Amino acid sequence: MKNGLKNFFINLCIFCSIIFLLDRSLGYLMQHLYEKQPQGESAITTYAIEKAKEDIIIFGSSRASHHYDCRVFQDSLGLSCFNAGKDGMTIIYASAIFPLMLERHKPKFIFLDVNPEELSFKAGKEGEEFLISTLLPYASKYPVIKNAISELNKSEIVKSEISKLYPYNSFIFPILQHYIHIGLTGFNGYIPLTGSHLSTSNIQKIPQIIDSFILKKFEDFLIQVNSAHINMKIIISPTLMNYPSEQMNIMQSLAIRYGFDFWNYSNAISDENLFYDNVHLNAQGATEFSKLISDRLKLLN
Amino acid sequence: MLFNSLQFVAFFIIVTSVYFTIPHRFRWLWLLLSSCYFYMAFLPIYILILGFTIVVDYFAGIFLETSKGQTKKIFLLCSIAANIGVLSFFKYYNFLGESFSNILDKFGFHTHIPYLKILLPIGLSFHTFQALSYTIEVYRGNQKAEKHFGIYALYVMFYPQLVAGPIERPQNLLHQFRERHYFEYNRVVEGLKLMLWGFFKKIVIADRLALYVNPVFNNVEQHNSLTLLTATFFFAFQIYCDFSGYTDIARGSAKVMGFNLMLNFNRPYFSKNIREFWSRWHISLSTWFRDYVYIPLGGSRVSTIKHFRNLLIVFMLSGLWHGANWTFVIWGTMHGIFLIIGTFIKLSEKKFRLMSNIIAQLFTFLLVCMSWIFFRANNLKDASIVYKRIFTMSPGQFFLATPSTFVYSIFGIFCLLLVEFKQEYFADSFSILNNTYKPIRYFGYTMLILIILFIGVFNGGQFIYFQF
Repeated sequence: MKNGLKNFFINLCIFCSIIFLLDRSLGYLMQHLYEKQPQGESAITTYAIEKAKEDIIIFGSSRASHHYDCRVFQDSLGLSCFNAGKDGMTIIYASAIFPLMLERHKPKFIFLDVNPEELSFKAGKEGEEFLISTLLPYASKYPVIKNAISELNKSEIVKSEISKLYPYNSFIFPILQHYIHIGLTGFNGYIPLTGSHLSTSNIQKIPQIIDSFILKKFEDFLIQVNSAHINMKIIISPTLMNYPSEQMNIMQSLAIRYGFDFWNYSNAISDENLFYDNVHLNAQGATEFSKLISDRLKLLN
Repeated sequence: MLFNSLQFVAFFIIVTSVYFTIPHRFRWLWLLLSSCYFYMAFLPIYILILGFTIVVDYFAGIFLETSKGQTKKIFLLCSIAANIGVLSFFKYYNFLGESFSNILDKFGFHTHIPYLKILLPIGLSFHTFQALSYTIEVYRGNQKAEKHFGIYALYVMFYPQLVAGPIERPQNLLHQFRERHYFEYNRVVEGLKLMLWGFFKKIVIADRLALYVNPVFNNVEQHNSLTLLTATFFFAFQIYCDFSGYTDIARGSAKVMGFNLMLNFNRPYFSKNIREFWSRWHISLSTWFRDYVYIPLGGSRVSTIKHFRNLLIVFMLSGLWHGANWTFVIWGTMHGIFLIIGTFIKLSEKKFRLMSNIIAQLFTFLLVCMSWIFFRANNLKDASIVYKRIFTMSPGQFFLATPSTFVYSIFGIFCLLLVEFKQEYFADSFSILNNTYKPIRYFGYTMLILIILFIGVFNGGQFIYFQF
């Protein structure tokens, strides 16, 4: 038994050392490949955190990413623009990356695209895992992001400390895609959607429970922007869905409290040809909507 | 506590290390306490239910051994009533109440049977059946009653198989708790290998496929024929890898400590007919039904009609065992019908021999997949929509989820089929994990771990069969 145990531990140590070395070396390789991606959604996040110095910065979910055409703002307002919106993200994402951006640069305008439903998202844990996996590659480098993840799920930080590869879990295929230039094409973070895939049935019921954590994050974000004295417009972009009025009222009252404009464009576009699906505009719709925003901004200035 | 969690990894290391360190006479106690902790990590209060059935069956076993005739039968019935009573209350009360109320409504009698907001104790169906097999075997005289309460409690609660089987028989497991287990290098390594393969199946294949299957089956009206068909095929692999992955981890972790749990899966998708499928799929459950329901009903040694009746009863019960929903009952019934039809084909097989092995395997897989639709669908309406949309070639855009999810899913299935094909047809040929050369073995282990780290789904949640 003693010999068996001794052999077992020797072999276990050798094997664990091999795994440790491979995990570290492949982890660093993945980190390098991840950070140097020439395009794709992760490249947008990296740019937003490490490089963005544009006059207008757009935050939000997929609705931000697909609705705000930076070219329109650049052409009509003469201001540079970067769209930091990302599929499946909530205010937690914006509040995690904003402080890092602010350390380097203070934008003239922030457009925060909100979806009143997102105040209820965490109640159903919707998107939380996706949010964590999006931010995890940056956790070892930026304590702000590490803290944001810890608030959601501490064990993810533990896992990423045990394994260097873990933060890049499931990224291998998208990274390869982006290196061989397959996938997303866009302009300064804006990713247009083409065509129309409207569905007429089975629109999911909007969750009604307001999550206090998300609400606090939303308010914290407004406080951060307010103390940085940045002109922020909180915008609900066009949709074919009906948003819950309670959530919308809360967002509006908070916007007013911290001195921000709250622009509700949820019903501004009703032409179904301008929609990709029930909640996303297509490229044509995004151009129309971006023009509406830039015209209003011109009027104000 | 989920097997696919860091918590379990720590638990397993501590339990196994202490198990080999402490004297033999304390090991049962250590395993029992560990198993209690394992179970209570889900919902602590439900250990009382488990405790109740353990006490009832422990005494029932002793009384069964000492009594005779009618009294013996009464003790058996008491044990069955206690176990099935608990199972029925927690698992079937709401289902039966709702079904009964619906039937009465159709006849114009409006009734209100109160709906109970109760959570199903995890793995209840598994440990209930394991406990029942003990009292039945003692009643039949095949097993001596266990006098040591702690050992009996451990038989029901042994943590590797507590929440999702394999559903053990007392003849196979009970005596193992009294045996002295030493640390044996080869056995420990075999156990760890089995666990690693189980983790691979669960984390890399099952949980990845779930990312495609769940959105499709939770929104069946939105998807076209090809998407639904793909999701159905994916679900076939998802449920197999989820459940057999769990079993591998359970058997592996038990093996490390020196316990041999029964084989529960034997490459079921290589079956050439439904009968063979059930001899390879969830073997511990199908043999349970065979030994305690099918054979007592007369099995196949009765008239053809009664034989078919027996098959239908067994498979309907098997469906109901899986879940309190008509979808499961229909799923079970479908398998019963497949078996009955299979009997006719078997009779005429000698004359016609139409199917080669490969065609028979593909056809069996297809039948199993078609039945999985009922198993996976959220309700009967959804199941009918899936069938309708598949068979009417419903148009629309193919749902890809994310390209990476699809690519990883296909890769996972490919790995599984490659390994199982080799095991099925070339069992004695070159093996990576069992190679005589250490570097090749290490290469195999390393690859599995790296694939898990690269593309595994680490937040996949609980095993599907936990709900049963």
